[in-house]
Amino acid sequence: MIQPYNPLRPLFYPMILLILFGSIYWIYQSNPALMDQLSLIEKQRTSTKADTYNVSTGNLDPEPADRFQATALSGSNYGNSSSLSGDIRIEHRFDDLSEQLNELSTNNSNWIADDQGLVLRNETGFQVYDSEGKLKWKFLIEESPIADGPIASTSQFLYFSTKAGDLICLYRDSGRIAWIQRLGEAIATNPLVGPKSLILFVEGDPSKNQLGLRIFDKANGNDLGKLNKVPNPTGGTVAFHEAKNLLALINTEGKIIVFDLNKKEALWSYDFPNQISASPVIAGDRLYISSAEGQLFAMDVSSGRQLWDYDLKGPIAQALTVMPQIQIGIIADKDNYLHVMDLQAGKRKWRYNLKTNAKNYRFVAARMTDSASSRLNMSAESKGWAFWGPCGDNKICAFEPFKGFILRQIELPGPISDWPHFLDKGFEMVQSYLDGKNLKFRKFIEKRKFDKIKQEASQAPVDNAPTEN
Amino acid sequence: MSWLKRSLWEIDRSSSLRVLGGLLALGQILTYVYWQKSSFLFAGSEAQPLLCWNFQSQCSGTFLSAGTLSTIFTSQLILSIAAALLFFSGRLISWAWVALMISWFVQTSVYFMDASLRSNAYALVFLIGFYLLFLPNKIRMTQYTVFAYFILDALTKLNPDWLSGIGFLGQIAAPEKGLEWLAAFSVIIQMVMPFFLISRDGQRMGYGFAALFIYQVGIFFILKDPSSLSIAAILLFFIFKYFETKRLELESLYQSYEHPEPSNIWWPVVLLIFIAAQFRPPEVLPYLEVLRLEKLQSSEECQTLFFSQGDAKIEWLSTEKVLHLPQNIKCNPQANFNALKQVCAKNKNDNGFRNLTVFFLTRAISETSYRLRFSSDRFCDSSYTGSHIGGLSL
Repeated sequence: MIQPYNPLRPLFYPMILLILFGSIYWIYQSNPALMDQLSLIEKQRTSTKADTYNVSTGNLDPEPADRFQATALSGSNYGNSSSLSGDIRIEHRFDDLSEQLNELSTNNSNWIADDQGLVLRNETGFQVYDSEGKLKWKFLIEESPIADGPIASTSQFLYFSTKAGDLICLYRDSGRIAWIQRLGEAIATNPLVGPKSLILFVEGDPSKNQLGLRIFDKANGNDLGKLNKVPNPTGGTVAFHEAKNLLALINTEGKIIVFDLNKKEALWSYDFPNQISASPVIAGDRLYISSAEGQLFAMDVSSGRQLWDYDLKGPIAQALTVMPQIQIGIIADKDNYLHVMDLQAGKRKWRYNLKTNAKNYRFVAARMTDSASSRLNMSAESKGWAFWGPCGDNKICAFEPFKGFILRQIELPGPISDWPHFLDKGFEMVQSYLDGKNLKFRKFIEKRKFDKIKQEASQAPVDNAPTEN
Repeated sequence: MSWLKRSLWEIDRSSSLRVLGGLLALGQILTYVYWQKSSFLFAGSEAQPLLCWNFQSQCSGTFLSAGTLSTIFTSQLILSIAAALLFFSGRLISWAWVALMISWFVQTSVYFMDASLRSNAYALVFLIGFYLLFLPNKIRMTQYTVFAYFILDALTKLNPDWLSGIGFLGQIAAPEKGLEWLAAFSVIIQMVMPFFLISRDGQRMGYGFAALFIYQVGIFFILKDPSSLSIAAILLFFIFKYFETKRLELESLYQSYEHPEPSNIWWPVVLLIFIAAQFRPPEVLPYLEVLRLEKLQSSEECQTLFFSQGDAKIEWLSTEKVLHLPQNIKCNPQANFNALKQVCAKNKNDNGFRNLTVFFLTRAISETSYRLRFSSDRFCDSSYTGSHIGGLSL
């Protein structure tokens, strides 16, 4: 059969070639990564960015940042203001907790108690109780286990993270979600709460014992920066200087490293000859470190210059509690001695045998009312500040920091497992204990006004007080 | 009714069109099997559509009972089987036409009621079914529409989402870079081979057919997408058309009379409408949305975070346990919105259930972070309509 001549026939293959090269050009335009070694999927995987997702605010009351209560980071225990009170009595017991939390130990990393109530956690959720011991709400999670460490809290919010990589902020009163930060990388611990920011350790390179560190705005979860290749801090605790944006931690080899979070690099580091035994503490512009051998060091946090050191002559396993308003530091050693330090001079003011092991206990500072302060003959330089701590197996005492008085001594019905939380006209503290298999909590509240019991304040039985080194 | 007579006469005299009719009927059977698993309509009047077309201000479930719907769909399946048998046997073409037309109407109605069934392949099957049933010059129209389909579908794949190869991820044991090249190769095949397919030269047409047929069957095995089998079936039409053209050319040597030629006006018009449907702004001729080809949806990643609020209890629920969206609309914000509203409706009578807190995030492969598409901690409130994402009141 004779086919009619088609004038376009010779153009068929050139046209196909043109389309072929044209399509290759378009393909390359659409995916420039095609010729790279790394595929687009790998590129996305390695450059995934964290983002915060706020619940649409139409239905929520926005919380301005300045309404957040300042809470010190773990290890830097600033005092808060309140008036002290008299005898303790049991007002409420946090009993009958749900069976889901039975496996909890008395390790207090699984629970937090403050004047708002109690938060108990396990891997799959947590329960929030009010100050009367009544269950307010519980949070259950199916997606991923909650990261290690206690749930971080302020008076209005709870912060926690999941191991899969979510940082979540909840309203403490209702459990409603304020915001979620999806990091896209595994999280090592629950966040640490600073005055304005949250600090979070994420999984890093385990072979080098390194973690990543992320900082977020506490108010809205916005990403404020990150540091890669941060050494795994001993005990998981760090100290944070919010004004200068500095972060101090001690690695597993005992080296103190201070990071400048603005520059995202290490500012200075110091390899201590002594074994560091507890978290660093930053107060003002100073960094305080205690060693297992019993030495206390003060350093300039910006430069690393050593300002003074003091030998307490007793092994230490506790971070210094600082009362920055009066430049006093409090620390207990393993020989059960309480040491009260003048931080300005770098000298011990006095020490006292607590007759109990206080290494896991945190001393808490609180301020007396002016009238109570004068009635108790507190020194003028103390400005009404006192601190609370254990002074026997089942006792807590309020100490006058300058003169070494015991202002108040209270016998508890069981061992101390928490520190007091100061209320408007008294204080409360929560004690945990195991009753068979179940973890139970007992709360003590003292509400009597201090004015009525001024005669109970007595000269403290201070051992070797004041003692100079 | 002369148009109908002409249409039937055109099918009756062309063996390739009879085969095409049979292939379309087979495609309808395949579609029935596929939709039975995914369409809400098969669940009866209680079910709600997951997704509405954007030209519908509101979509609702059917008023028919599950039993009635089952009867209709079973009848449609029987008619499709009958149409396939009659078209392939070449007998009772009028009856075959009627059976295919009823079946086509039923499937088109379902397609218009539930946008979650949307697929590029069904848009092609729908269009070719319409040509075969109602318009003249069916062979040429089918030929150029299939040609245009491959080119336009290739254009939808010219984006980082498809070219990253993420669509093949987990389906083929190959390195990610290899998947990228496979995706690029698929676009080249779709861009080049249609030119071979419509060539009058038998050898070239054979290359085009073989390449595209193997490609579609390969896509079916890789992506487990049954709609590629429908397209592969339509490609068989080109073989029959080629042999029919050859036969007619031979017959023309000793047959002196001229065949009455069908009108040449319709095929360019319809082809232009098909092409215009791809590039029109969304607000222009919104009904043409049913013919618009979409890029691969599974390349988009999404996350749905939702928390059930109860009396003194907040629970972070696992998405996989609650939401069961078809793969093609898994990341569609509107479909997720509607599915979550159905979770609200399902739980509203449960004691202790108060509301849902929901976050829905999506990102394309080229994006490093997710975008928040909608969120609310009062998601189940009737006042939260999600109008900004096109969520519909069900």
